[in-house]
Amino acid sequence: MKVYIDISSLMSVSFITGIQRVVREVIIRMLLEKDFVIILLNYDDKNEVFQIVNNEKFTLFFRDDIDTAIDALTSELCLIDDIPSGAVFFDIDSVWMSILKRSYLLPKLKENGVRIAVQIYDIIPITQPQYCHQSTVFGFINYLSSNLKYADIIMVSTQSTLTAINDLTDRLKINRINGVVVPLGSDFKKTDEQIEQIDEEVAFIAKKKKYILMVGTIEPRKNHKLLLDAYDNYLIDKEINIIIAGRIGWNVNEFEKRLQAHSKFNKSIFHINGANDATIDYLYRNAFLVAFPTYNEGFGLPIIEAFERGTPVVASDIDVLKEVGGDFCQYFDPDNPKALADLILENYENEQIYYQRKRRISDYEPFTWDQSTQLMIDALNSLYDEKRIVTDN
Amino acid sequence: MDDMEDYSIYGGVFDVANQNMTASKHFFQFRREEIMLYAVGDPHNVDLLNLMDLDNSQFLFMAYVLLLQRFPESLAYHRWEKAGKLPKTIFQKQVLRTILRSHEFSLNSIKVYNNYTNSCKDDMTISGQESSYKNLDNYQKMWIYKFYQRLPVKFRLLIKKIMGYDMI
Repeated sequence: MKVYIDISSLMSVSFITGIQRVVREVIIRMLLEKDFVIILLNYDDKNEVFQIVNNEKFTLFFRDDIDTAIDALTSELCLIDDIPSGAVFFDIDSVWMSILKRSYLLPKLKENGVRIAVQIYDIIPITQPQYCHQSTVFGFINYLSSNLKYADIIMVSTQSTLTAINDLTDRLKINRINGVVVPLGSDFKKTDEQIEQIDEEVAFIAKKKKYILMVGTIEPRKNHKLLLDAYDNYLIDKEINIIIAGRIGWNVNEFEKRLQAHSKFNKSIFHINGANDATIDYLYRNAFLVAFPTYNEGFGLPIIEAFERGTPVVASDIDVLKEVGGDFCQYFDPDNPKALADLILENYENEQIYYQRKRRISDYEPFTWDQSTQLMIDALNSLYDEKRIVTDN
Repeated sequence: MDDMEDYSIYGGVFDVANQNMTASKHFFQFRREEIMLYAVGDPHNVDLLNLMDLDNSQFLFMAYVLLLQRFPESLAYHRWEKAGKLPKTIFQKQVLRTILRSHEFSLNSIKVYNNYTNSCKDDMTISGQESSYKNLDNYQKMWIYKFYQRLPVKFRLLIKKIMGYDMI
């Protein structure tokens, strides 16, 4: 089976986080699948053509950190019409801001007999657009609508997202699309741990006191504000620090000002920007608790990443996090700072219960990237399975 | 424009997003019509006739989205606000003239067709800046780019001038 994957977004960014990590980990493994011919594509918008990416060089760069992404580009070109009938076009990258809008690409592929598969990480730009940049929502509406219209199979990382998509198609009175839940892996790339050094300054901060860790880009949806509210009102006199690890994102000027003007900033409350994987790994391993007060997520990777390192998590009481964290997590109302503070204090003031929770986490079996990739391969193969049920309407 | 019936799903998804946005007491700076318009056609070849009937604020938004591939920044809104009360034809002509002559437009590969605001027939089709660099194949471009990145700034500027500003 020939599988074409547009990785233009991954090829153009200088950082690997979130979706880029998924694309990297899955493709590295898919390239080893003997029954698949994987053709990686990088869109050259100036010449209106895909450039074909060299698979070996892709792996060399993205797995082994050898050479650069641009070294993986070949001079071989592929027009949309070159993708043959019977092939699969698999959208796994974050393509909703691409100039090659899917309302243009997908009907052309469909007309040529190409089957279309897509990994949809979440539909937050539709269900909670207030947490997204408006240009993202604008592009996402085009991306999602096109896939609802043309995709043969949709992969999602949680049942909650599939339910949200089915709710949307029902509301639009259109047929549901065949959907498959593929939980995401969380095993880190080993070479990261080997090559990267832990930031000593961060390690010094982490050793000061017990700390509550929040990992992820600072943006309104992540609700960092709640942790500060909980700290200011209920935790300020406790021997607990707050460490927020993540870059400053969109629409958080007010929070950023509040953070930097805080009397405890850089004393008990710390913001770590641009930490490498080894440092994040260190922060997770040594945190007292990981807090995840988010309003919505596609998957909630920080929960898994914390569990893998034996660190308990307190998280928002929302469907997607309950699906991922199960009864290994403790949950609170993301609009109630006291509820968050109560859970933190319950662990802080009762060592026995805290260590029982920690021990219980060792039973948690995280999904691996090998498993995620295998499920995606099965889903792609199902496009050719005659017995397949096309829709679950 | 193609049969809008084919694009109803885009409008439907917008309606759901818009209801959720309104429920959270926020508002989109675009409307259903812009979503539908964006769904239509080739992103590299923009038929300006599709924009002709829009009101001035919609026209400004779509001209930016289709020709510059981004939302107008607040400064642009502010700048055009005063002109917003101009008759449609004059407003559209001014916006298009500014965008099509901009350096930013010259850097992209978008071509416009049916530029009804231009009286000169020869200029009915306009595209981003053509340059000697653009005529090279991708393999040559990659090598030049890698070499270029290692050069001091003053040489880079000189090369940009010779090879064309769309090089980077």
